[in-house]
Amino acid sequence: MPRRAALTVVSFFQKGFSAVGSFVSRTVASIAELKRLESENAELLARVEALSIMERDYAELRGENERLREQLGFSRELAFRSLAARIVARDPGNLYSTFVVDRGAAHGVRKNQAVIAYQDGMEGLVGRVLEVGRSTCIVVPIYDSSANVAVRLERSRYEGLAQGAGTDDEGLLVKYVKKRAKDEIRYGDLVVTSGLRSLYPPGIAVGRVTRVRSLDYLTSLEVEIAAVLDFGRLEHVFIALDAGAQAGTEAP
Amino acid sequence: MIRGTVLSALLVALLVIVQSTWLDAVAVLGVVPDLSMIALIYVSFRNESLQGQVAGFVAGLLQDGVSSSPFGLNAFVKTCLAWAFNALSGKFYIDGVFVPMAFGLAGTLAKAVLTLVLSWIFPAVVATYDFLGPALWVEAAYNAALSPVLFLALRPFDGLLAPGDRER
Repeated sequence: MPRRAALTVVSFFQKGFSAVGSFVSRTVASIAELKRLESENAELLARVEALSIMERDYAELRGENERLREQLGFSRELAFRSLAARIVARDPGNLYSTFVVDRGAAHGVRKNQAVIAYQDGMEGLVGRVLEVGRSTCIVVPIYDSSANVAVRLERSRYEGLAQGAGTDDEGLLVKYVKKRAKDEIRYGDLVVTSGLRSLYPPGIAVGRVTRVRSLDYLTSLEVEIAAVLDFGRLEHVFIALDAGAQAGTEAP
Repeated sequence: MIRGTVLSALLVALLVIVQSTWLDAVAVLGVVPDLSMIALIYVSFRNESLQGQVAGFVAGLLQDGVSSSPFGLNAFVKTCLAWAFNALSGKFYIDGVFVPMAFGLAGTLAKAVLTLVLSWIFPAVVATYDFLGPALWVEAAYNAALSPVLFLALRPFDGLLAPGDRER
């Protein structure tokens, strides 16, 4: 309760400071942007012409896609409802790596909801909601040393448990991967959430394999992965509101 | 005394908010300077009363509210730092550069040692600085470099922050 009160009070000011900071940086950036926009405008006009042709093809393809989906029995519903949120502040100290987003209990956010983001055309796992205030919440990222994510190697289907190393550039370590998987794991393999016994919905990209360690004294492999998201560039995230129904209900 | 304490707490809390919002743009290797700690050191050193400890405790609690640290960790660390620099009050003459730099460096290292000791007592919940890693030393250097600037900036407000102060 005291933490929630402090979060609500401090984050009110953080939102204000963040808004002022954004305004100043946007104003400065907009001067340089004007020149770039001029040339982009001419480029975009040419693309509009090309896209209008594609639009005609799209309607046809969409109809065909829906027919195929129906045949395969896929649902047209989205996997889960999500709520867009903006990062307004990061942890004031250097020991912890949480950040504050501008959505809270008033918007339907609850503790332990999964947080995802889209970057460079890819959906990636950001972390989970740690604490909820009235209009803000604290998100703990997957690279935090307290984070554990049940994962699966997308290509070879082996499972493991990803643990954060504490900083975004150190990546994550996937433990408890069966030793027989060694020959099947390739560098660059995608690692996704498994959704098993976890609060994270299945199939969300977590990272890519950068190193595989097979230590004699361990009964399982240790796989190092680099997160698919560049956390330093994150500005907006999505909070998965009802992903718990899809994934397991046990604690992370 | 009360006005000075309230203003000191507000100043330290304000710098906590600045750290969490604007300073991300000037982070070095992902490390931001601890302006709130530097201001707290200044306030604690300039006052012989408990003003620094109270300000540190209140601002630390607010910082705990927006952090994943155990609730009370920052309040405890800031109160201890304020106590230590309050104990040094009147024992040093603050020059323009070197003493503030030494205070910034010492404050950062004291904070790291305090969290290390707390992590021995509460190993599962308290994160510690890696004394061999770059983060602690970047923060120490950053704080040491900014301390003279912040001390200089706060000096004109001594009438508000340290009303009963004698020249040190």
